[in-house]
This record gives sequence, C-alpha cells and structure tokens, in this order.
Amino acid sequence: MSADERAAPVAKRFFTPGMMVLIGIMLGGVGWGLYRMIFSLASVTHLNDQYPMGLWIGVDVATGVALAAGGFTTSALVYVLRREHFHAVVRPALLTAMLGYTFVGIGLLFDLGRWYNIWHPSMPWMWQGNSVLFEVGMCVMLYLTVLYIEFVPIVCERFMGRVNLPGKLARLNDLVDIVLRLADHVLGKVMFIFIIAGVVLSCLHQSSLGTLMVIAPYKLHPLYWSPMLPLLFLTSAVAVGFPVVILESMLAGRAFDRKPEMRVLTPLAGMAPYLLGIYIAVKIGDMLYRGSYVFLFEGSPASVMLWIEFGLLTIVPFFMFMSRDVRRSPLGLFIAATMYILGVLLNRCTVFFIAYRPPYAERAYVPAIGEFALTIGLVATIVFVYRALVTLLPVLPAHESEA
Amino acid sequence: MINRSTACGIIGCLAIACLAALGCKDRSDSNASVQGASPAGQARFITISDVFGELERPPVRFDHDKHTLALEKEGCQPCHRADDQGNFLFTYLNVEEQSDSTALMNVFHDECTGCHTSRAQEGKETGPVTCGECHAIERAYDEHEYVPVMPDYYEVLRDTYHSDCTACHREPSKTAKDAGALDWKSFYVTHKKTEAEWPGVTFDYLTHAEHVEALEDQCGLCHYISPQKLEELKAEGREPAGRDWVWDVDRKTSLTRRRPAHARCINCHLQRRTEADEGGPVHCGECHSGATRTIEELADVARPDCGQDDMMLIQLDQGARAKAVAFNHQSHVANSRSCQDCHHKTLRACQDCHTVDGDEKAHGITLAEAHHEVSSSRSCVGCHEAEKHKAECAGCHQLMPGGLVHAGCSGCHTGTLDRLQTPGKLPPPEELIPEDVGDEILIGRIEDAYGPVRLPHLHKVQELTEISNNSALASYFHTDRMTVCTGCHHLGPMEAKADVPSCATCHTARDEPGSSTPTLLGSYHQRCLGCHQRMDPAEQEMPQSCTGCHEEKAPGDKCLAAAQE
Amino acid sequence: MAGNRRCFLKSVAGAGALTILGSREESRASGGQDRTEGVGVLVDCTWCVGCRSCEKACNAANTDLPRRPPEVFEDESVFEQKRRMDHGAYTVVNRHQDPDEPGKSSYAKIQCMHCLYPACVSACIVGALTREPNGPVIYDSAKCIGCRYCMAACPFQVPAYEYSDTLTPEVRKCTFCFQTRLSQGEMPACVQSCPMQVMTFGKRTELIRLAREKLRKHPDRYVPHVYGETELGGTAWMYLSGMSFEKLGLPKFGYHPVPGFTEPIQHALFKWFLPPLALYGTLGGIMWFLKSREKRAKAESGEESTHER
Repeated sequence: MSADERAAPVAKRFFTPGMMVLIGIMLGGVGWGLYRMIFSLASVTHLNDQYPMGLWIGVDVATGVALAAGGFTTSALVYVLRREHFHAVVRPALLTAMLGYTFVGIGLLFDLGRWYNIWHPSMPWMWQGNSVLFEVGMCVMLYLTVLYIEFVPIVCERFMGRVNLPGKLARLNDLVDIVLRLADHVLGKVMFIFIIAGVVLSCLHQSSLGTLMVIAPYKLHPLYWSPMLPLLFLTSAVAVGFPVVILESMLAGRAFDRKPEMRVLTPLAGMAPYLLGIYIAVKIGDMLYRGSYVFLFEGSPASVMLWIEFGLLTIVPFFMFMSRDVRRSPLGLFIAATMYILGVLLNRCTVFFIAYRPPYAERAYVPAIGEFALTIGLVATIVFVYRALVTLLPVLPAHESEA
Repeated sequence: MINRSTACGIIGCLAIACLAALGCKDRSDSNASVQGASPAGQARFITISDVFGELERPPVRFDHDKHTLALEKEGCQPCHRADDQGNFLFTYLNVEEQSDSTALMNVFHDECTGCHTSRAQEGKETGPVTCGECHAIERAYDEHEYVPVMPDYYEVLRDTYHSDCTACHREPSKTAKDAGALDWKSFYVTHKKTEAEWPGVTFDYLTHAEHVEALEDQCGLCHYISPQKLEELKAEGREPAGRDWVWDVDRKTSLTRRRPAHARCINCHLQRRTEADEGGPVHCGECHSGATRTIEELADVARPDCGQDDMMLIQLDQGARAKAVAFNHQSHVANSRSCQDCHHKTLRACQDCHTVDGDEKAHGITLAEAHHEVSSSRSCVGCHEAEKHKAECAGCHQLMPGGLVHAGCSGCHTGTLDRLQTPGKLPPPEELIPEDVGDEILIGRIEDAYGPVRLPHLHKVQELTEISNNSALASYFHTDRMTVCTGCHHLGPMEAKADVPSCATCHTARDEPGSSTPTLLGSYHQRCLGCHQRMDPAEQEMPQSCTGCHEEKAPGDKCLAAAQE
Repeated sequence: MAGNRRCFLKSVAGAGALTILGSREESRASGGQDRTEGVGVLVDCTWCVGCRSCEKACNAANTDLPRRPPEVFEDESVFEQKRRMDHGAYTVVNRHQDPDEPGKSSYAKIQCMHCLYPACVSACIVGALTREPNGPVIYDSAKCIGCRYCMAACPFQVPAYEYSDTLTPEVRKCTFCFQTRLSQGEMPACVQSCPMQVMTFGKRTELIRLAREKLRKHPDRYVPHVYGETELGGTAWMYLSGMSFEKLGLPKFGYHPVPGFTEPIQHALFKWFLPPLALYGTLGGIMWFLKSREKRAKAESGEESTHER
C-alpha cells in the first residue's frame, strides 16, 4: 500500500454550520424519541392493530440494514476477491455499516413495545427457531459483533503508542497500549475469519429480512409477495452496496473539500450493473413466472410504487451505470447512486407497509410526523457520529491538503 | 451530462415499459354470448366466447336501449334484418353466419363504427369510433382476488386433499395419478364483477288475459301445435284444448332459434303499432321490468282455459314403481302467477320431456328429479319446501330436517284421490291436550337472572291449528292429529291426552362440554325465540327481546328466589 | 478479474439456489403430533341474535381486560359499525347485512381462531406465543419484546396491541380461557354464556361431524361449508353460516398453512447449518486460492510482500 493510500483522521473543523443544523435535527429526533418513551407509541406513531409495522420498521430497520450492505460487499471485494485497488473505500464502508447496524438497533429500541426486553432473543430458553425474525435478530447481533471486531484495528492504529488517558487513569496507559498491540496483532492474523463470517451472516440476514413478509401471502400485494422475497432482498441489498459506498464517498469528499476519488469509484460503479442486473432479472423473472404482471396497470398503491421504485429508480440507474460516461462523471454517479438508494428505500417501505393490505383496514397507514422526525433524527445522528469518528480515527484516506 | 448514454438509459427504460405493457394481456374470461341491452343503464358485454376465445381486448359494453332510443325514428332496420314478411330477426345483422373470429370482428367493426362514422358526418348524435372508447374497461382496484399457490409442504394434511381439488391438480411433477395438471397462474385474477342479469319478463295471468282480449282468443297467433300433435288428437277424437297449445318454436319455419319471444312479441307489437296505432312495448326495459304481481293481486284474474281436470292422478302409464300421486291442479292454478311457474316456458306436460331415464329435451333431468328436486322452484318438493319457509310455517319447520329424505314417499304417493276430495282437518287442541295441563304453562326450571316464562300454551296451539287448517297444502300433509304438537315436542310418536317428556329430559340444565344436544337454555331459546323470529320478523306480535318473555330480576331478587326454593 | 467477479456471483447464486432447492421437504414444526386431535368450538351464526352476552362474559372472565360495566354490552347501536377486537376486547359481535338480499342480516362473533398451524406462533421471535398440545394458542407477556411480528403474520388480523401503554404493552387476543377454565375442565366463558347455544365446545373432530350433520339436515339454512375445517390447515374455532363467509368478514383462504411458506425456507437454510458453512467454506476457499496465487505472483516477480491491510 503506497503512502498516499494510508488512512488518517480528517483534519477539518468539526463544528461547521452544517453540523449545527445536523445537531438541531438530532435534538429534534431525540425529543420525539423521549416523547415516545414517556407517552407510548400511540402518542407518536400512527401504528394501529391493522398496521403493526410502520416507518420505523420499513426505514430504520429494513432500509438501514440494506444500505449498510456496503460494508460486507466491499469487504468481500477487497479481502475475499483480493481486489486491493478498492482498499481506500473499505474503512469508510465498514464505518457506515457499523454505524448503520448500531442505529438499526437503536431505532428498534424506539419501535419495540417492550424495548427493555430486547436482550430476550439471545437467551437460549427464549429461542424460537421457526421464527424468521429470530434468525434476523441473531444474525444482526452476531454481525454487529463482527463489525465491531473489524473496527478494532482502526482504533488500535490510532491509539497504539499514543495512549494518553486523562487524569488518574494515566497509570493504565501502558496496559492499554499492550492490550491494543495484542489485539492488533491477533486480529491481524485472524481477521479473515471474521470477514468471511461477516459476508455469510450478511447474506443470511439480508435475505431473511425478505422472508419476514413471506408469512403474509394474503396481505402482501401479489406484485410484491413471492417465495423469492429472500432472494430479492439479498440481491437488491448486494446491489446497493456499491452505490452506497459511492454516494457516501462523494458526500464525505464534498464535506471535506476533497475531489471524488474517481479512480476507485468508477470501477466500483462498473460492477454495479452486474449486481443490479441480477436483481432486475430475478424480479422480472419472478413476476413472469408467477403471472403477477397482470397487476402492473391496476393503479393500486402497490403497482404505482413498483413503477416508481423498480421501473424508475432501479432500471434507470441500471442503464446509467452501464454507461461509461456516467461512470466517469461525478454528477452521473451521484444521481445514479442516489436514485437506486431511494429505490431500495421505497422498496423496503412498500413491502412493509404500502403494498401490505390488511383485511380490515379502513384507511391506509401514513406515518406520523413524530415517526418521520425520529427517523430523520437517527439518520442525522449517524452522519454526526460518522463525522466525529472520521475526525478522530484513521478511516478516510489521508489527504495532502490536510496533512 | 444528458448525453448519448443517458439517452440510451431512458430509451431502455421505455423499452422495458413497452415490453411490460405488451406482456400485460387482459385476462378477462370470455363469458356469455351476445345479449341484448341493459336494464337500468347497465350495459351488456359482447364476448361471443365460442368464436372469440380468449379476448385480447376488454369486452365491449353495449347499451341496447341507448340505441333504440337514438334510432327511434329509423326503427329496427338499421341493425336488424327482416324476412320477406317484414318480420325482424333480432340478432345483429348477419353475425350468426360468421364462423371465424376475424370475420365476426369485422362485422362488428365495419357496421358499428361505420354507422357511428356516417352519423358523425351527418352531424347526428353518435357513438364512439376509436378502439379504446368501445373496448373500455374500468379497472377497479379491488376487482382482483388472488390466492397464492405453492407446492405443498405439509403432507400430514391428508384429509384436506380429498376436499380440495388443488391438492391433486398441481404442477406436473407432483400430479396424482389421473389428475390433470393445473396451471397455478390461473389461480390469480379469478374474480370479476358479475354482469347485470336481465330481470325476467312479467308475463303472468293478467298479462295473458290482456293479450287474449286484445287478440280475440286467437291462440294460434302466439301458441303452436305441432302437426304430430294434431294427428294424435284426431286419432283420439278430440279438439285441441288449451293445454295442447305450447309456446314453442317450429324449427322449420322459426325466424330465430334463440329468441322466439323477441321474434314473435316485438314483431307483433311493431306491426300493431303501424296498423292499429296501439301496440305493446318494444323497448327492453318495458318488458324486462322485473316487477312481479303477487298471487293475491292475481286472485280475480281469469285463468286460461286449459281443459285440464281439476284433480288428477299423476302416474306413469308403464313401469311405475310407486303409487300414483294425487294432484289438485285447480288449486295449483289458483296459487300461481302463470302456467310457466310449473310448465316452463314451453308449456308442455311434464312427461313430454322428462322421461324416467332422462332425455336431452329435458337437459337430462329425469322424471323423478323433475318432481323431487329440492332446490328447484318448479318441482313439487322444491315448491313445497319453499312454502315451508313462509312466515306462518317456518316457526316449526325451520328446525325440522328439510328435503325429501325425512319426509318419506307415502305422503304424496297415495294412489288415490280420496284425501284430495275430502281433506282432513286438525282437531281442536282441547281434544289433544291432557286435562291437567293448564291453558298457561309456567316455565321456571332454570330461573336465574330472569323470571319464569308464562307460556300461553292453549292459545299457541289454537293459533297453529288454525294456520294449518286454513292452508290446503298444510291440511293435506298434516295427516297426524298430533302434528302441531310435534312442532315443539319434536321427538314422536305422540298420543292424544297423554303426557309428554319434559324438555329437560334430554336437554340438561348443566353444560356438557362436547355434546351436540343444546342445553336447556339453548334449546328453549332456539325453539321459542327461533320460532318467533321466523314467524314474526317484524317483531309486531311475538316477543323477541329478553324482557318480552321473562322479566329481568334485580340482582338481589336472585338470592330471594334461591332462598324460596 | 472478470473471473473473480463471476466467482463471487456464482457462490452467492449457488448458496441461494441451495436454499431454494433444499426447501422442498416437509417440515414438522411441532414434532409431528396430530394437530386435529384437540378441542375446538363450532360457531353457528344462524342462531346468533346479537345479544353480546359472550362479550360481557369474556370481559368478566378475563381480569387483564379493562373492566366494563354490564350496561355497555346492552348497547345495540354498536352494530351500526363493524368492530374489531382491540386491546380491550378479546371478542366482538358484528352485524352483517347481506348486500344481495336487503333485509337479511346475520350476526357473527369473531375472536382468535386458534389455528392448528398458527402463524403467530411461528413468527414470534421469543416464543411468547405458543400452541398448547390440545389446541389453544396462548400468550406469555413476560417473554414478549413487543416487536408485533405476530400481528403482521396473522392472516385473520387478530392480535391487538396496547399502543397506548408506555411501560408494559401487551399483545391481546382470545386465550380460549385456557388458564382459567379449560385447565379446570370447564368450557370457555363465552360458550357457556350464550343463551342461544350458538357455540358448541368439544373435540374438534366431533365438532366437524356435528357440523356436517347440521349441513345435511338443514341444507336451506346453511351455506354448505364449514369455515375453518381446512382453511390455512384448519382452525380450532369453526363457523357455520347462512350467508357466504366473505359477507361475514371471514376471508377466503386456501388450505396451505401460512407458516408453511416461511418455515421450509428457514429450515432449509439452517439444515444442520450446512448452507452457511458451505458458503463460508466456499468464500474461504476463494480467498485462500486467490491469496496463494498472489503470493506466488509476488514471489516470482521478486517484490517484497507488502504489509497486508
């Protein structure tokens, strides 16, 4: 690895005006979150007996997990397939994934009725092996652990030889340093175990998120219900991994006045059409095989959403990524990546509460303002923590202007 | 940035959209054949199924009344051909002659749109000319129902296989022997809004009497006797009587095979309009109004003189295995709205078409079925079952097993006209009720939150006896003196003046989990309240609320009652 | 390079295919016991008069429900709207007008159907909902985490949730009076309370026999179908009606149990953990193969191996 590909903390001012706005949004989210905790779900959400799963499940949990797929796809690309060229994006992707999954958990705390029981699925006497959600929970828990383990070397790199605990704790400096070095050494040798485990666990729970709604064949619109849902969720998540990395790389670059690293992003985008193509093929093939295409012009919410999230926000980016000009153009990449990410977000929302038609609902579910506020607040928090961590830790590639 | 590559992307997107559109064929089922126009503004679908097969475009909604009103001055000529005598064939031009779908389609397209176009050119009010205006369909969101079908994983559910066809008719690789493979895609999109049904034409005795008067007794203008029949009658030495005339189609000279009514009625009405300036209706909705007169309203209308015996024995001339059935033709005529109620539209005698083994004339329905089928309004048993649903009968009959199996054959197959000629009546209740049973019976066995019921027993039995005696049908079949008693005391046999077992003998007061016999509380309510509901749906006389039968006790009274026991 | 990409995609596709192919086997979710040998209730809607005694009895028998005074259940104006079970009621009675025959209406009592193959039991992440061997599907709030996946899974949309409870919200649904009455040999409170004997409690197989007998004896009274006999694999609560069941708000379902769609996928995916281990092995194999090829290439070209990562 050449010197200029080394990662380093970002040397930029932390409290920019943009960050202040972010903090404002975060506080708003926190406020609504507190309100939910004190005054119950009914006071904040429009969830009801007909629609038990709403925006928080669709976005915070399902989309959050899908968009954090960049972590395992880039890991697989660099460490399993040995494509060292993309090394620079691994750490940011890892950080995104780590934060993404962490906030999936935090978001879940607000959605669960009995959030204080969130540890129950890890207790063997409460394991229910037939449940899809059980598998999702276990895999996410394990994967989060793997992500933290994968993140330890970054912390080690930052603090090895520079441990400086404040005040009385300074006595532990050497001990901490020894621990960090040991961790770094051991993990260096065995990291591949965790990396591959991460890919396997990711495949398992990304697909199982799709299997969740397979249990409701009479409530999910035929355009969306399919026994292929796990494969659809898996392929769409794998396909969104690189666009997320691209987008996040460009946004971080923009935030820190860096030019987008096109020599990494362009070949990354070159792989997107293949992954997107598989997803599109599976989706269209499934519709043809099961004959559900008859509902395409129905005008129902599900059919409209399919045209938007699949017809517009998946197929168009597919063609865009195929174009060399788009791949070489930062703006083109930005638009294509954003479109597909939006497509995945809308897809998850549709599966969980738009194409979901409970038998006795009198009106459709529209998320309440508190739900939007908390979700946006959580996203703002992710961005905030991301910024904090890249400022603190060597995640992003080192930049000459900042050195 | 919007360069060639992005343009390619957009074109690709559109291409996929077009492919998808092409792939989305309309899956409308081809159903009924060409029909006439619409009652109350609801259009009919033109989807001639045997020729068109699976439709490529939505079926056309054709509103006949709109056309008859718009073309009032032109009359029927623009669309319907006439024969040499000037009688119209009420099918659309020459569609009956077209044997392949393209030719048929062309007839519709050329004629319909041709006429619409020429009228537009003349500046007259006209109809649509573009494809989508005729082949339009409202895509209602909830029109589709779907059932997902998957290969079966739960093979332990063996019992369900026998009650569910899909268990055997599956994808070829898992088909049971001799069961055909069923395309599971056909389980999608099965439900469509049903077409509007034509209400029947109201042609009852009154309408018939009006026609008889207007046409001065000339039966031959509407009815028909075949030459064979005339021969038979000559051999018998008898003149044609009313019942020999049938409403049928002379297949050699008929103007149209399918619509003798339209051919005869409308043509005649049209003729009389031009000749005598007074004709019958010609617009669809005027005949197909769906209005029916009640039997009471038709009570004074003269019945057609059909020359049938008032009372007769229905029997097979040869090979009869049961005794003849005594039949009161006169009372049936008095209690019906038209001859067609029993004799179909053809007005033939039953045994003309319904043979013992089933004939194609009768669509395979055997003689026995024709008389015994419970679900048919024309069969004897079917009509009688329907009569039992009337309010005055349903009270007792709702809890009795319906259908033929429990009734037995000897009720009808008596072999003699005796009981018809001298109908029996039920005796007054005083002759049947034991002496020690009072006029009013106190039912207080399970008194709890509510007080005891005072049942006006004698009064009830008198009412029911009167209902039975006033009905010829009921009187004929209620041969047992204790009939009314068995309505409530439902397990016979019963003897006059003898005690009956109390309800609590079988219907226990305490609950027996798993028993199919209702508890005492349940059986009282099902019997009493059920009867009241059926006999008095409007809740005018018979109480149907809790306090209507027994007063509600204040909470403290319960203890008092218990203490007094 | 293209080969590596293809390899990656192939292994993912292979794992996926393995999953789908491997799911073509029967599943015995509860150890193969005969689920038809349990208790059930037959509800004959043609007798129901809408007196709501069942609702009153249910409220009185279940102490975790908010207390309602008996007068509340005598209000007939509630029939103007269709009601559903909610966190305060395990069962409700609705009046249904027949759209094809104006003037004809029927009452129907709805509650948890206590399916033989319950979707909620299969869905529950912590096993808070379980099916007793003799039929009732019961809820243990101590285990519940409030994820509400059971509500998404139930095809009858039965479980209700206490969204307005901040600290200890529960999933609420009919318990078949399991703890309070069934275990003492009594029948559920609603069945006992009905003055019209609309409901019959007993062995499910006996109830089916009874239902068929009723259909045979009174063909004019009933729609010839026992709802719940085969729907979704069968339910413990079954219905007879004089109107089509869709008109009573009971949806039309196939015979395939709903967990039968998800459990085979899950069981195939984790059959002795083979598929995940196979994927792990495949990826490990690819990684090792490519790494050793790299090492060979570098050794051949004489460059020093750079520090990995």
